[in-house]
Amino acid sequence: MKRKKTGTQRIRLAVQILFFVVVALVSVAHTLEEQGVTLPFVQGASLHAICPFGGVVTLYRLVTDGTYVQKIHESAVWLLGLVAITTLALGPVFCGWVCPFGSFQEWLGKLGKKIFKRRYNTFVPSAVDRILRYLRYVVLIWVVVMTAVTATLVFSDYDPYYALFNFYTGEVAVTGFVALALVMVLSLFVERPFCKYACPYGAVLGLGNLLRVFKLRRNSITCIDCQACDKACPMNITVSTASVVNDHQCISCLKCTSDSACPIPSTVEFNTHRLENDTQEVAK
Amino acid sequence: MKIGAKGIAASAVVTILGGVVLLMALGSWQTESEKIPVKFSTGEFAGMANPEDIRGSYSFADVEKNFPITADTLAAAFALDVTVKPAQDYLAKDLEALYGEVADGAGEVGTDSLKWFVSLFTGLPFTPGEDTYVPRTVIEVLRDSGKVVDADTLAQLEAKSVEPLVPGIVPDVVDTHVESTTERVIKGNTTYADVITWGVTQAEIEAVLGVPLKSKTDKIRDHLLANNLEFSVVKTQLQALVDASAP
Repeated sequence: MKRKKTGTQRIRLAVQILFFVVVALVSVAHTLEEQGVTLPFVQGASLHAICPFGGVVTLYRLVTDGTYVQKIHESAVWLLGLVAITTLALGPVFCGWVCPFGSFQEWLGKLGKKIFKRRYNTFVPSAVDRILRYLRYVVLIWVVVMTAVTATLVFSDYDPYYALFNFYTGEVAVTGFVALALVMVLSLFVERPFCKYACPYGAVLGLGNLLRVFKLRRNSITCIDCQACDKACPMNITVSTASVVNDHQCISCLKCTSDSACPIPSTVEFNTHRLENDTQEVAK
Repeated sequence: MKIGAKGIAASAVVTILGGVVLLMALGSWQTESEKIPVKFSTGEFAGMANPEDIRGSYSFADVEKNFPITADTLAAAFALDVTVKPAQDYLAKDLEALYGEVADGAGEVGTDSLKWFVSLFTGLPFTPGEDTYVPRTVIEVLRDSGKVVDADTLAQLEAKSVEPLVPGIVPDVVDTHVESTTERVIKGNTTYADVITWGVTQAEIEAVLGVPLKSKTDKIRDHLLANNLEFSVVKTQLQALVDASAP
């Protein structure tokens, strides 16, 4: 039982590492290519070219002008489409499994957990936290509008993700480094602070939780109200009272499920139909 | 239907990485722009490439491909050393790296400077920002090629000019030359190219100077100072040649 539960998060960790390494390699290869050095088997590309959020910010110009915002290319729009497919099926899997910056914060958070133990990820008062959770929509609107108006990547200078993977290139603005440092420090207190409060792409993908085909469901019949799911959720979502988790902050990480934190089999899981139906069927 | 970690992992990897591999195979995975600037859609320049859309990633060869201007002229205008790498290989963003902030941080020479130069050279519209500066060699190339002759534009450029990377050494690539002034009087900002246009041959100039003339776009005064020659003396002799060759 224990081995199986660990296995779920190990699979996720493997996927996170895979995407982190791929993005780092592609980014480094791009920098080397600009200096005339080619890495074997790796095709370099700028971080902007392989970030699906670039597809979001360039949509306006693509529709109205038929061109892309500076530094954004066709690849970003394709990625936007591919991520949209996974989001419509499973919710923001991109955030919980793929995004290297989400993974980076999560890994830093493990250090925070060691330091603060149970107090970790509980420092922000819930009333303040509830309001702050909508800040990323403000960021999203600002980025999209300003990018449409200026036709340049306004967020790039403040993007900690860009700063993380390009810190050695000399192309990162001071504000980018400040944002990165801030996120790194906050990650020791709060799990995924950038994802929760500032990520504009997370804001877009979060809406996928309302539409996803595989929904995160709780079986109210078999649930023992131990609240293990609530404690496990990195995004502080109260899973234990919901029959279907539609919260815009869920990142589909599976930490709350019966394959991880929940001690009762088939009680919290991603499913296409109500879990109570299965229980009633078995009872019959 | 339930989905667990293996299913989600497979979905994410297959959809995203698999999708990218598929797009690569289909030739649709473009991580770089095609280096074709957007065109003017209306007005007298409709259908022509817009200098405004020149990106930092554009090489001078890309600019040459899209605008009626050679990479050599661009390199000359920005006083770039073509022995380091060919003019075609310089990128617009190299200007920012090579010049960067100028005028005590009041502005910079970068991609916008290139846009401005291309605009003035080609006659296409572009409005530079207040912080856009150009090396002085830009003015010389524009003037000597006859692309900019009006006093207002030249004055605007002068006000936003800085010393080039290698002062006084400008690759001699500008073929076409027209008079920068209708007044055939040698002044402080007169170039050797001006004098040649007024009918004096390069050999005659070199006879006066006593040294070879390496760059026709040099200002006479600057060149003489660099060679410890007396401007007033040479000026008088050159002016006599100019007057003698007057039509």
